[in-house]
Amino acid sequence: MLRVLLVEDEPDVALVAATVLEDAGYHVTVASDGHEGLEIALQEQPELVVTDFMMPRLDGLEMIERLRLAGFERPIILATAIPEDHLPHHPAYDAYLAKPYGTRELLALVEAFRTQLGF
Amino acid sequence: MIEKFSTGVEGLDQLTDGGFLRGSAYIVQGPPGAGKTILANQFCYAHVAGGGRALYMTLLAESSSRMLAYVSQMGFFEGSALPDAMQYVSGYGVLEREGLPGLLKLVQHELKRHRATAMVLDGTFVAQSVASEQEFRAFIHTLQGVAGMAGAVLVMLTHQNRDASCPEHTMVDGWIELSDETTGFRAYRTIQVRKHRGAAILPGKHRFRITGNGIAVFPRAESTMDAAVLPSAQAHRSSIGHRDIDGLLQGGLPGGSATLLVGPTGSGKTTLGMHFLSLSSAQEPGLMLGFYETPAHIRMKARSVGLDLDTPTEAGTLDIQWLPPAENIVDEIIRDVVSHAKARKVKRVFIDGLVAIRDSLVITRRMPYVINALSMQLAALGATVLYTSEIPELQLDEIQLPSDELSAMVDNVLLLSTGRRAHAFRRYLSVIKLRDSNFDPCTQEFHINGNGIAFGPDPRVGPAGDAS
Repeated sequence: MLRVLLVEDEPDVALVAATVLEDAGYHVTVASDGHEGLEIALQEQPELVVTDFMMPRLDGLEMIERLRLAGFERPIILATAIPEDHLPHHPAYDAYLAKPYGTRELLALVEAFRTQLGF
Repeated sequence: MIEKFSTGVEGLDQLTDGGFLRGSAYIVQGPPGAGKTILANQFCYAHVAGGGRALYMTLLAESSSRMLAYVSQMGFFEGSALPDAMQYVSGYGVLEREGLPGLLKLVQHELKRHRATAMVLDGTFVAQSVASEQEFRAFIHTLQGVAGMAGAVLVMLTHQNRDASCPEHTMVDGWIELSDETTGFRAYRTIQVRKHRGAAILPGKHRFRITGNGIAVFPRAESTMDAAVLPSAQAHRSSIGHRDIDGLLQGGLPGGSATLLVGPTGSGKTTLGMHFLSLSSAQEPGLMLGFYETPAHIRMKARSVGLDLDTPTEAGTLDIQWLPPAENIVDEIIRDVVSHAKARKVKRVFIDGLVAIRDSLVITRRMPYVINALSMQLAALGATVLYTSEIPELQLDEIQLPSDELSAMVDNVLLLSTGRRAHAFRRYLSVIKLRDSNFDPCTQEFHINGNGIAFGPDPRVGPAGDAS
């Protein structure tokens, strides 16, 4: 079972996304900010990370940067309401998902990574 | 002197005497849908546009992405402010897990992390719901201290309808209330600055609207009267555009004065206004605001009585504006007329249809004060203004001025009356009041022909005989 770490500070979004992914057969762990996401990712080494950008304590891009510095090489999806062309240049994430996203868009993207990873 | 940050809303800056004070905490209160979120976002983007940094923290469970998607459609939104100068974060999870102490630490941490000089805390009532009254009071007190230490403006949004005696209102530096009100079938929005330490606020309720460009606040015209800009008496006369009527007025209307043309339908009020406007020129630009006839109709009507409004309109020295008499905000109309007059150095203003203005007022008792405010502001710009006011058809012997206080609020009153005498419809003009001047008290019969207003009875019907 592919393990997904969902890093999201908005409880409603986290709840809906986690439920949808679990229903689709993924194992989901939720972190509520970048700090928590960093700790869990390094500790549990999930196969895929889906992270928000604007979060308290540590934002999504900072978290990604620290993860990469720490040698975390698994794919990361950045999900944010900020248009991609407004994001600072940051090649360290693997896919962009515009918020607010629909469950179908989320599932399709996660599914594509599952296939790519051979699960 | 404490630095002030614009609220991002011109009218609200007026109400708050210049905006929010740096290092201060404010409560913005109002029911759901009142516009709190838009106001807070508008403030943030204006703050960022001015070089500041803003942070929007929500304590609501709902997604701020959805809110951002909506806000991104508004005119004030600036995508390039994200994510550096402007950020949205949720404090809901921390509040749920760690309570008010955790939230307080988070606010401090986030203010520092983002180097924010403005912060919005959306859903403050959620924080209140997880704590006792005493804990909440301590929380607000500490938050205020945090904002002060950070030199930031903190704006807390809440939908709770808490009264003035509640501790948070006594503690914060400012309190703004947004309301949705209804009179009959008519709904309207109001904003009131209930408290603002160290500022000379414009008290009371003021109308506002929400458009695609955000919130626009219209301070009550009469509350913005500034004694410092009151007009000085002007010695010159301003021709009404008709030699014989100028004769009755000792050479014309006193310059910078306000005149009420009162009369029933068909008495010639608009025609007299068009005479006045026909003298619009580069030296004396004109402005007409009408509610019932379109600019094209007005110009055609002028042509039909031999008055030329086409030439000044085409030369750009006369602007004819039309506003359908719907649910207008009178204070907005006044603001627009005054700013237009200021920008174009207008000297001749004709406002056709005070009934439409009165009907737009939620509280019609404001009418004389509103008109007085408009007249004074125009007079301060050196503009002479004519208003028309509809009254029921009168018999010449039973002339009575409108009983309201309107006549007292204008400088001059001209009565245009009608009557059926000697088997004919006839028009009469009387000067009732002329500021600081003698005037010819005789009632003049007049008619309207291909050259506009002409004194004397219509040649087709002859004299009435007993008209005096």
